[in-house]
Amino acid sequence: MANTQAISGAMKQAALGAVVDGKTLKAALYLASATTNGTNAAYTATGEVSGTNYSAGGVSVTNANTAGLTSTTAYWTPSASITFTTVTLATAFDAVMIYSTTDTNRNLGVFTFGSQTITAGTFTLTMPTNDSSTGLIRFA
Amino acid sequence: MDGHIFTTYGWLPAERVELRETVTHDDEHIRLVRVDKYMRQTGEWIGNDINGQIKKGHDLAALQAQL
Repeated sequence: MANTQAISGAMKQAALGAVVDGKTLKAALYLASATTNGTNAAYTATGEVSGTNYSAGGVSVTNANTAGLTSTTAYWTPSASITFTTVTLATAFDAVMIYSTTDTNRNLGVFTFGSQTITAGTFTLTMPTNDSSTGLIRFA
Repeated sequence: MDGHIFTTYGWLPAERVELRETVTHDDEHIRLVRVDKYMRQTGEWIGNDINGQIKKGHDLAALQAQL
């Protein structure tokens, strides 16, 4: 047997849990022309989409999961799809920010996809399996 | 609204709307399908939905090296 250097899984789970467990979350969409990324500490209205049936700040994110741990990888995923219902967003958008209104709108992550427009329709983001391989946010 | 589809004309009975799917983005992280909606009787385009399946989220990998 030999000693192995590592950051503990328990620490990763605690760190992730501190920012997601029990928090009130929202998801906002951003224009393809925006520059939203990991340097955004919090939700910003700059570059956010606008259009019919889209409210500034976005939609609520269902958050029934707590940070999990498998081996040394902590993980978390929203517990339901994120849905923007019957919207018209005519200017191309390609990113969603998930942020915590509990913690002064802290940006938890920006997730990009191909440039899209939508007319009189519903945009549904179905979440991945909540585990250490595919969870939406993972501390490996 | 059950049995109805939202369009540029508002909610229409599903039988009046033709749906056509196109995969617009597909990588290891996400697959996006655009569903264009057409008036079945006239062929008029009356809107679109987008269905995204996130396959895999973001990793924050800890760099753990010997001191």
